[in-house]
Amino acid sequence: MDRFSVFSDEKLREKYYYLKHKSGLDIYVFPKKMTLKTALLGVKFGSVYELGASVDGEVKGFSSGIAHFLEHKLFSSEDGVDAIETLASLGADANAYTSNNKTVYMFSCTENFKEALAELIKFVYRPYFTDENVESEKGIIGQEIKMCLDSPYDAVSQQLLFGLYGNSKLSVDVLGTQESISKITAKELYDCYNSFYRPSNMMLVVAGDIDEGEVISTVDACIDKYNEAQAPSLPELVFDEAVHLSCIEKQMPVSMPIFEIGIKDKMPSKDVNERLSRDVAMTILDEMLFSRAGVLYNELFESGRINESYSYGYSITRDAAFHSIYAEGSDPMGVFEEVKKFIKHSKEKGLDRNDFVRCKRVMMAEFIRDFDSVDDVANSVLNFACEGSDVFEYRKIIDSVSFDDVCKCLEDGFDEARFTISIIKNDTN
Amino acid sequence: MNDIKCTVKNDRIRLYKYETDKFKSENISIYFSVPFDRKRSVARSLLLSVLKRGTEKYPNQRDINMRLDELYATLVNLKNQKFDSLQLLGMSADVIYPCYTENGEDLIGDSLEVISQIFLHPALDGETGEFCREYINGEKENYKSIIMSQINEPRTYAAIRCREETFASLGITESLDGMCERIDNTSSKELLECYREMLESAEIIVFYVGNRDTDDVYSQVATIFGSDELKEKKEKKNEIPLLEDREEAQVVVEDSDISQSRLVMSFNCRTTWREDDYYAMLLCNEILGASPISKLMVNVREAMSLCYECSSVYNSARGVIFVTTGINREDYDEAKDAILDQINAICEGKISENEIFAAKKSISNVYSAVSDSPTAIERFYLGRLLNGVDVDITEFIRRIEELTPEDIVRAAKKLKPHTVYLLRGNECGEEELDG
Repeated sequence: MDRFSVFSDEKLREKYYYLKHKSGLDIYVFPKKMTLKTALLGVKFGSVYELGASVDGEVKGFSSGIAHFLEHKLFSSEDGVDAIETLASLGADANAYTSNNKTVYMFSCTENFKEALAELIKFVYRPYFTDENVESEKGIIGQEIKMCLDSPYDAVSQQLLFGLYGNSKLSVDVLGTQESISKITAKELYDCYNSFYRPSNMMLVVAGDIDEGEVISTVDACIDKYNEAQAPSLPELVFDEAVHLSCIEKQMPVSMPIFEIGIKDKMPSKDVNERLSRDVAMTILDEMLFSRAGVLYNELFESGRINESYSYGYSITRDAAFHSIYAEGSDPMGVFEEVKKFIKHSKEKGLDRNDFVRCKRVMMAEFIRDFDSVDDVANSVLNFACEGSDVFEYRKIIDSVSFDDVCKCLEDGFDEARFTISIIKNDTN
Repeated sequence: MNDIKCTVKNDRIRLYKYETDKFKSENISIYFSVPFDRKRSVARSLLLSVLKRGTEKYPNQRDINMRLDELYATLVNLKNQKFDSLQLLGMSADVIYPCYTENGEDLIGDSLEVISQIFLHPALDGETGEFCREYINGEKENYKSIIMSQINEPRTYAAIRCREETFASLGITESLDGMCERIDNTSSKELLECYREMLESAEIIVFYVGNRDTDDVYSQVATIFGSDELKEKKEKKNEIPLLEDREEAQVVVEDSDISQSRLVMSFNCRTTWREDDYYAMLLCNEILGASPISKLMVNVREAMSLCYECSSVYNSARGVIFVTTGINREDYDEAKDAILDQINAICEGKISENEIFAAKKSISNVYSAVSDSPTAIERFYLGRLLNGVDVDITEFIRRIEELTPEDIVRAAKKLKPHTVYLLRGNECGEEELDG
């Protein structure tokens, strides 16, 4: 019997088990004394890799939107029974999502966990595509595309990516377009599936009141043929330091302008620990600069230039990193100038050490709270696993990050050329 | 209910405690309970926001937020809930346990101190004794912008409009412009009246989720709010009016420059959570459109490819089910008929064993998992406790599981089409395709 490695964190009072299955699949089991149990089966394949990846020595490209299309179609089976239905008959609620760098299939349940896990693995490992079932899905995904096109909240984020990265795979919609999905065939789906859905390119994360031995015995029973092919080599994306466009606008019927400011960070390090460290330092810096306890937000809010619909964050993956600030108000360009002025002033004046201590505490508290939900825990472990890192390592980095680390982040980022704003407004706004 | 311990002293503070050590934080909600009064509803919402703008000790929002950050990002949320004839105005705080802080600090006392400042020591204008004009005006603009932003997302807007049209005869909804007008017309004097009413005559309801000793929780709250008897306990029982059935559904169509049309249909069932048939109606709704393998998803989406999502929501306070979907403009008649066909199928008993089993399991999954979330725990128990409904989670699930196909058919036959609302988008080909 394979042996799990145990990883634990005394401060968090948590632990998890990890094992590399003989098929190549990475398996994580996170015990939590909760009623709900959840399982996520993730593939390192998202919209970014549709452009092209090196598969068995050959560079292959696929239709835009195919990662998401594949996610929809994998629920179909040869006997005509949708996997969602099979899982529902076990009392499990199933779902899936596709992002720019991964596709994830999941379920949650309170009973019949082993059986539901077996079904999850089976349906992901047994694709069934026909020209007929592919055609019928085009209508459904076509409606999903339209629904998102009508959403100003989707539009403002999508537009921001274009402003930051121009016409790159990072800025193309995960869903694709009506035109691009119309070209997808069953053959292309199989080709795509065989290229990326290999155990060596996948991971299973389960969280809840679950025995790790049961998990491994279920996986053993379900994955009996091993595709020993190597994981595809995913392309390295390179971007300019400057943004593609400093301002981009679109007209939509909104009650007042909504906007998102993006600040491009430098290309992420290839080293995963360096990326983690930057993530932590930048997240604390964002808390110091942009939070609701900060000077900037309160000046903008109290002067009525923005309302309370406001959020901010830092995102970093292997391919790209940027900050974003979402807000609503009648003068987006005015707010944009204020943000730029504020950051320039902060660079000149320097940061306050007391603010750093406070914001580091906030970050740690938010991280701790993530462990109170099996869904949050499982997704956290999966996201770290996709990046090749570890959730407990992140906690240690939060503990060890210094005021100087954060000051350095402010110094070497936030140049004028790195700012962009995406605006959605009505022509009467 | 065995899961909840209730402590009441002097009729002023009523504490409900759910004992658990599952979480890394403890959760406490403190409410002032007042009789619901529709004329006061806007003023009361505004009042809570104004209170959170500043206090005597923390003069502005930034000061309040910084203090909460220092307390390991204690999350304080405004809460404004209606339970039949009662309105609860208050705040909740999510507080990390001492073992997760750097030096084992117990944060509950300091967190409650911030809440007490917000409730009991708001920032007032020194000359007039009223709330700061700047804070009132700022929150009015903020409130109006949040109300109006509901037009942004077609899904949300269509749902609101159908609700407005459905309940128009009851006089319980109003237009977005109407709401904004009421906000503008709320005076500083009215806010102060609401505030005094809240402090002087409201019972204080506390809901605590965590493992702190009950007496400790009670005494912390009593220290802040006092344990005097209520000066005057007002009780007002409102009859909750139900919608009358219509001979024929009304149809309301609005045009909009959007790619996808939004169709929302309401069905009057006159079965609320108070009725015996509530559980049957809940299960009927699950089968119809609340689960991933509901009739609406399997037939209208998967079989007919008419939409990406098609679902139903049961408003158990008013006894109405709403079905919502996004479609191509030209598929309106087909979609409408397909939706009606699913309801007719249930009425005719065309429900498989698997559908019933899956629906029951889906509901029991959700309710079994209530104990995994402090918010879900409070949401499940508080309304039931205040209305004297002695049904805990185990009993709730049992009542769902014992339902028969006949119960579901009986519930479905109560559904009468009331309103069809269509937010009509562009014809296919007119919209600008994303390139």
